[in-house]
Amino acid sequence: MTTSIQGVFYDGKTSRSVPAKLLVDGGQGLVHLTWEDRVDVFSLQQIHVSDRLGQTPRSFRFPDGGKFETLDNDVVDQVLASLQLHPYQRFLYRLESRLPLVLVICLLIGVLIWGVVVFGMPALAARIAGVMPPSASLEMGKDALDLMERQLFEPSRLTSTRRRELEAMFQELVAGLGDQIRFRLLIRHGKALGANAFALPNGAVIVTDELVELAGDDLELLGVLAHEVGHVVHRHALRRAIQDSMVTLLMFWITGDFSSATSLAAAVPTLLVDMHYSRDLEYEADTYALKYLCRHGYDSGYFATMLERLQGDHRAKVPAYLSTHPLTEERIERARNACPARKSMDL
Amino acid sequence: MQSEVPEKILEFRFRGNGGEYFKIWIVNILLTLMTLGVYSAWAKVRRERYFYSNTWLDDHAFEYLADPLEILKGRAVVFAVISLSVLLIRYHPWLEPGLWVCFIVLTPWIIVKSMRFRLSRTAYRNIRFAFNGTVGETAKAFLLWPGLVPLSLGLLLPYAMYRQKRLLVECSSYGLTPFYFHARPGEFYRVIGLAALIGVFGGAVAVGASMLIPGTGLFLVAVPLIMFLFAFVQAHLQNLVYNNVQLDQYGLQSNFEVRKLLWIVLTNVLGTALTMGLFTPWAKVRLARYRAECMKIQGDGELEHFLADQSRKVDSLGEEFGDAFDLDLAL
Repeated sequence: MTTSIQGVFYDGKTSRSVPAKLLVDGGQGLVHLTWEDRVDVFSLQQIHVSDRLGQTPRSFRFPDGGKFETLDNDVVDQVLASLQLHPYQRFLYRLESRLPLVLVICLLIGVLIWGVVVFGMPALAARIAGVMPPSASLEMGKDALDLMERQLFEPSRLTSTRRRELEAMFQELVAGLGDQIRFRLLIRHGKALGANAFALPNGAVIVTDELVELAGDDLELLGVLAHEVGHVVHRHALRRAIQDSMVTLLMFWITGDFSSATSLAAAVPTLLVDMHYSRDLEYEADTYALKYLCRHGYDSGYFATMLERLQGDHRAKVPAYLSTHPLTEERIERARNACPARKSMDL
Repeated sequence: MQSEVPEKILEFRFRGNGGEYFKIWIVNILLTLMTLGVYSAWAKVRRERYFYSNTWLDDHAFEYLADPLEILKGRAVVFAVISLSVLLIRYHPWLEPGLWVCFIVLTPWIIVKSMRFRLSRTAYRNIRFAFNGTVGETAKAFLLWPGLVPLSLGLLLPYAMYRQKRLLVECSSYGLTPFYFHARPGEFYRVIGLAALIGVFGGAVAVGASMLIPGTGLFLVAVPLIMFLFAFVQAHLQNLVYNNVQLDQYGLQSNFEVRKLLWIVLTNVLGTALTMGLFTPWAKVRLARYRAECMKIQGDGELEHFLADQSRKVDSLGEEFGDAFDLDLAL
């Protein structure tokens, strides 16, 4: 069983190329290389055959540094298959050459990435955040607070009596949460931010004067405060930072290298994923707030009312696109049904 | 003695296509994900091989010969160093400036290593390329001159670029034959100066537009301006560098056009964004094809007489630990 392959020979000492012929003698395990008027004989074991990659030229490398190159990929594949050589490289090419298979792979990758991003990463981020020392969270909050104090806020214009009332409500809320995080309430005039509330990882919860004024009842404020405390208790800032860096890393892995063109394109899915995470975290903070309200016998409907007020307020001031608090309807519905005054209090 | 032979033009051609590369690309992604990133070294070799082996010069294809294992080893080292530094900074923040200084001092060494790696794994007609630059020379071109740029209020920037390109070209060789670089600093000043003029003028228009249409006005002018400047500098610098590269009696020729490059980059970015990245393989192939189309070699011969460097043994590759830094440094 001999096969003849036509190609070009390069001796590896000069850049000269000569037409050549390769005779593969499977029975003897020998290869005869004919170029110009000489014939070199090698045993099959001495030769390295490159694996197939699309229609690119195939090379046979000889121990003396010479190289035989051919475009006859199919013949080379047949020879290797009949000699049962290099099964691994044929596997790769088989994967790469069949369109239906490739489409199945696309689907598989989609499902895999979706699974990793939606389930794997949040779970992993929560785990990592759990083992990180509290000091990690404390540092994260400090710089952000300094920056916000300097650029966004003015001192509160509420009366000191009013502020003390809120302070008392907040202390009751965080009583019994342990002393790992020092919770404290900061009331500020929000200026451009309007009615808003923030939680920083170091335990600082900030509400704006405008939010306090927007609320029709202190129970409405209690829900918002509990929601913000929920962000801190579940270490959302830290988890989000971890998740975001994991998504970036994943994009890096997938695209292999970041050229200027692809990094711009990669920003779109990263942004979408981040919004998804943001929604999940809001949901979790809501759960924390509702559990607190229900456990202490408050009517969760107040929180729903507050969400409605906020939605109305934001709609008036900020266009709704790219809001980090989307699906407010769903949240309002959930809050309203969690534990209305006369219903049972289990959640 | 060959003066009677008429000058010949040898052309570069890229023979790959997007559909074929898409399949290779997607299999790479799948295997990389399934192996938690370990396969990425093999994926890189397959990707590079696809682009090298489909680039033909005068009917002979280039070759990429890196071994995935050496790339994996290099990546493991880089990953370990970065993780360690991040941890160190986390617990000893005062170390951060020191670490940055370390990294900066190490850059010339890293550049030399990665250039040497990349060129020694590139072959044409079974002759490997080589990089012979020393860390000292590289430090001058990549640390000293750039360091002087801010002191000169930017006036030395084109000169620093000239020194860097000159180093990269003149320290490279094809087998035993070195490359020569005969561009002059003045030509770099012309390209960068023009770009700066366009930038200043366009910036003024952008400021004007932002006053006319608050918010979106700046965006409307600035984004096309930045893309145009990118294509302008890219095309003119590549032409300037390649047109001044000489290998023995052969000279490289390059004629990138700003307009065509801009169109390809623009449609690539749009296509990639609109398809959530699925267009990436076609985007890369389009760029590779255009690059090859723009390049030629002129000289009176058939590229048949170059000698390999026999002292470098082919099979002793990648023994050195740091050899596998596969940073991509464009010429």
